[in-house]
Amino acid sequence: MSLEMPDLEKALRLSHLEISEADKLLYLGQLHSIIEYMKVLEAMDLDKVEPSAYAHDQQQYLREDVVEDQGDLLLEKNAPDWQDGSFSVPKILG
Amino acid sequence: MKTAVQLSKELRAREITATSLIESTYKNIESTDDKINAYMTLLKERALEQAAQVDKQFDKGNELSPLAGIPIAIKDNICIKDTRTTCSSKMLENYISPITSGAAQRCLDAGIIPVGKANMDEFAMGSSTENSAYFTSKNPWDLDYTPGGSSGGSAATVAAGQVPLALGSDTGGSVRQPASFCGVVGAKPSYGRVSRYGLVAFASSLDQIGPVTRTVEDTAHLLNVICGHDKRDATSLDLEVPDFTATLNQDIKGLKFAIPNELMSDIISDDIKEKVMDALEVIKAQGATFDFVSMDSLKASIATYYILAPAEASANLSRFDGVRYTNRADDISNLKDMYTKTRGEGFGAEVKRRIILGTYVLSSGYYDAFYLKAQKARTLIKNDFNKIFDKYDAILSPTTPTTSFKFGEKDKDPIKLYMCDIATIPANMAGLPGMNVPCGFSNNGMPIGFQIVTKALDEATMLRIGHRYQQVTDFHLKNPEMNYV
Repeated sequence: MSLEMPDLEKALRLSHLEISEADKLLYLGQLHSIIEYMKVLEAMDLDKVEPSAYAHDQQQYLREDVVEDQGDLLLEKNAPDWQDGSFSVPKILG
Repeated sequence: MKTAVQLSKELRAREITATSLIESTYKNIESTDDKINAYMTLLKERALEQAAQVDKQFDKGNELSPLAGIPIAIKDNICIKDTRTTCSSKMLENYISPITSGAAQRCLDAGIIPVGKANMDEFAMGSSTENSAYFTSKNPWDLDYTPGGSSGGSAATVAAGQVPLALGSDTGGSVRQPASFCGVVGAKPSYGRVSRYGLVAFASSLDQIGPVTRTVEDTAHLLNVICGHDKRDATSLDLEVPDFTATLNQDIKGLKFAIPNELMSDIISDDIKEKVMDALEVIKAQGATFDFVSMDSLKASIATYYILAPAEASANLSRFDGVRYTNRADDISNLKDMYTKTRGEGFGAEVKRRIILGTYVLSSGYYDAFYLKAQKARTLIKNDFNKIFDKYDAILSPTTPTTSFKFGEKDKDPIKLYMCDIATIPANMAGLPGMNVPCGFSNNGMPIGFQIVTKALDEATMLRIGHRYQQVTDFHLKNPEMNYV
C-alpha cells in the first residue's frame, strides 16, 4: 500500500488544505517514505490484539451538564470578522 | 545559577524579595535572550504585579507554597488568560487566550510567577524549534546547535539560567528530548496527572504537561503544584496526589531496573551508550541492580506514534478554519476558499504534513491498514511495559539516540527527525511517567541524559532514583559558559 497523488489530493480535500503544486510533489515524496516506513506494522501479528484508544483503561470524568458562567470568552477580540454579535463568514448560498 | 529550592530559602529568609528576583530575572533575560531566543512573549508588567503581591504575603508572615515568588517560563501552547498564546504558529499570531489553563492556574495559585511564554515547534510538532513560525531557539551550550523540541524554548531558558522552572508539553518526548539536549531535568508525568484544560491540543490521548528544571528536587516541588484533578478535563485522574518531595531522600537499595536492549543498540550513538552505562554503574553502586531485557514492540513505536498522533492532530487542528481564531486569508471568494486558503497559509510545512498524514490514515480504505493497526500495536507496547513492571521497578535507557544536532542538519528528512523520539515515545503510548536526568557530555561538549520510566502513577520512584543520582553526581551543576553574551 503506498501513497499516490490521488490519495494526497483526497487528503487535501478532506482536510481543507490548499498547497502549491510544487509543495504537492515535495509532500508526496516525503509522505511516501513515511508510509513505507510504517510498513513495519505489517510484520506484526496483530490479528487477535484489541486496539487501545487511550493509555489507561480509565473511566472518563464527566461533569454535570449544567450551564456555567465562563466569563468573557473574547470572541469578538479574536474573531477575524465580527458583525452584530456574530462571526461573519463569506456567503454560503448563492 | 540557583535552583528554585535555593531561591525559595533566600525568599523565606528575606535575603531577597520576589520583586527583586523578578527584576533581576528580566535583567538577565534582556541581556541574554537576543542570543538564546527562548521567549515568544514576555509578561513583565503582570509578573512584577504578582511579585509585589507575593512580597506582601511574605511581609505579613503568611504561609506560602514552597515555590511562591519563583519565576517560571510557560510554553506558548499553555494558555494564560488575557495573554497571547501563539503555539509558535502564524495561525494564532494575535490570539489572546480567554482562559487560564489548569496547570498555569495551579502555578499562579501557588505564587509561582510566569515571566514569559516560551518558543516551541509550531503546535508542538518537531524536535528542534526549527518548526516555529517565528524564530529558532538556540542551545545555550552552543548556539549553532538546536535546543531540541518541541519545548525547546522551555529547556533553553532553564539551561541558560534565565529561570529555574519551566513548563513544557510532552506528546512523544517534547519535554524530555529538549531537556536532554540542553542538560537539564525534564519530566512527563503519568497521563491524567496534570490537567490538559487550556493546553492547546495536539494529540489528546498522548499530550501531557511537564516540568523542566535543573534538579530533580525542583521537579518534585513543581509536580506537587501542577498535579491534581481538574473537572474541566475528562481524562484528568480523580486521585490523591502524594507529596513527591516526601520520599525523595529514600535510598534506592534493592530496586531492580530493566534496560531494554533495543535502546542500547546501534541506533544509539556510542558516546551516549558509554555515558548511560556510566550512569548505570553509579546507580548500581547505590544498591540497585539491573538486567538487560528485550522489548520487541519498541521497534514499532515510531510507526505507531506517527500514525496515531497525526490522526488525532488532524481532528484537533480542524478548528483553525478562519472563523474564530484571529487569522483569515485575504482574497477569498467563498466559504471553502476561506477554509483552504486560511489553513494553507496559516500552518507551516510540518503541521501540514502531519494533518495530511493524519487525514490519510483515517480515510476510508486506509483506516484498518494504518490507524486500527497502530491502535493494536499500542496495546502490545502497553503489554510489554506491564510485563517488565511485573519484575522491575523502573526502566532506564538513553533519552535520545544522539546529542543535539546543528540547525539545518535534519530538517530535510522528516523520518530522520522522527527518529529522535525513539526512546521517549513508548512512555506516551502507555501513559507512563518518564524523566530525563543529565549524565555527561559528548566529545563535542553537548549534554547527554538518561531516561527513567516507571509504572503509571509511580512518579515518586522515578523522582527518588533521579534525586539519588544527582546526590552523588554533579552534571546538573555544570553550566554553559555563555561567553557569547
